[in-house]
Amino acid sequence: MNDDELQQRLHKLTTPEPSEAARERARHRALIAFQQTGSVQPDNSTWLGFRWNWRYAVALMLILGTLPFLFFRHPHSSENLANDRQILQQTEKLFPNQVNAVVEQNGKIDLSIAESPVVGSDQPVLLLFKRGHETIRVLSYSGHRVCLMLGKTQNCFEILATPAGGVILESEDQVWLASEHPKVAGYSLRAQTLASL
Amino acid sequence: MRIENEDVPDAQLVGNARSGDAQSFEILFDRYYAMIHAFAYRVCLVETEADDIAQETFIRAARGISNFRGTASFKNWLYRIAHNALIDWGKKAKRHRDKQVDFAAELDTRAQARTPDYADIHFALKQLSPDLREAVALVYFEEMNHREAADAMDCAETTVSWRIFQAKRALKKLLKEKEGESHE
Repeated sequence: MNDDELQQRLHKLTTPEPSEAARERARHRALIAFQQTGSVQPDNSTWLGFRWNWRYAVALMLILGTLPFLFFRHPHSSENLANDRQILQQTEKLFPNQVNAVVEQNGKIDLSIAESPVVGSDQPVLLLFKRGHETIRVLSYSGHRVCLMLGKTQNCFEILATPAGGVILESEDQVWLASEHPKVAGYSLRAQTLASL
Repeated sequence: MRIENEDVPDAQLVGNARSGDAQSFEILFDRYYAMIHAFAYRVCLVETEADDIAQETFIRAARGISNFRGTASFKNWLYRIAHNALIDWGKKAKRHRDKQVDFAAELDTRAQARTPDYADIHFALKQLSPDLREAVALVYFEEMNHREAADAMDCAETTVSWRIFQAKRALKKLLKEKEGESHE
């Protein structure tokens, strides 16, 4: 069989027409994402890819000032989960498509921001690592990679949300299903997606 | 202002969308949804998964269009996003092998219900790794040159060339075997 014959045979793989329902669902969700993003053309005065002016400066100060208070709450109420999502959304407005994670560890808030915009997932996820009185809260997105100090070692994970609403953490050599409440480097892990809020 | 002309160039629609015009983004969606769906299907070979991947591609495009610089064409930018969505799909599929087997079984039945040629090609493509299938989809179906495919797949042009070489060799062998089976 030569290359031309192979090409001819390959083209016999006809593709199915996407269903009207799938198309409309995709259109609807994409438009919601578009409207939530509130697309604004960036100008040339950018720093880390976002427009830097006094409004952003004030908003950033407000967010960074408010984040510690928002984090010190009972971790499982639905109100708090809504706040978590709000934190991510506000941070995302300041750093469009650059937010990798918001981490609260030992009372300190760290923003993990990508140097250049990346097209991320729309599935926000909350991770809670607990050991004794210590709690580490991580707000991030499915598909993102997060590195944390757990005890004395740095642990890096890829976060994946499952279609059923569960969360999976994957390191170089291990996989944890959050639904099984596993121990990760001595910390108990709880996790959930924030998409349904 | 309502945009009546469906022939408005992509660049103009992208510019409008970057300024927040949802209608321009919707025209881009209508223009490219079927193309991205077909591409996703040729790589994942599962219709319902292609629905999800195409949807995810446009959600990500909606979120990222304000950062689209126009250094590549909008179409190629979409392929790049679809490529990333397919990588995520591959990771999920790895963790849901049982589900994937169910899908594969469902699809095998559908494939058999079509023409024998379709079933053979479907079978042969399914034996390739997703990387090779994606290279085949971009080069043979989307008619990209190796440089464009490399941009979409975020890899070196030589990698695309090598994947195409491997894919062609494997496909020819598999299709020849299938022909042999049908003659027996």
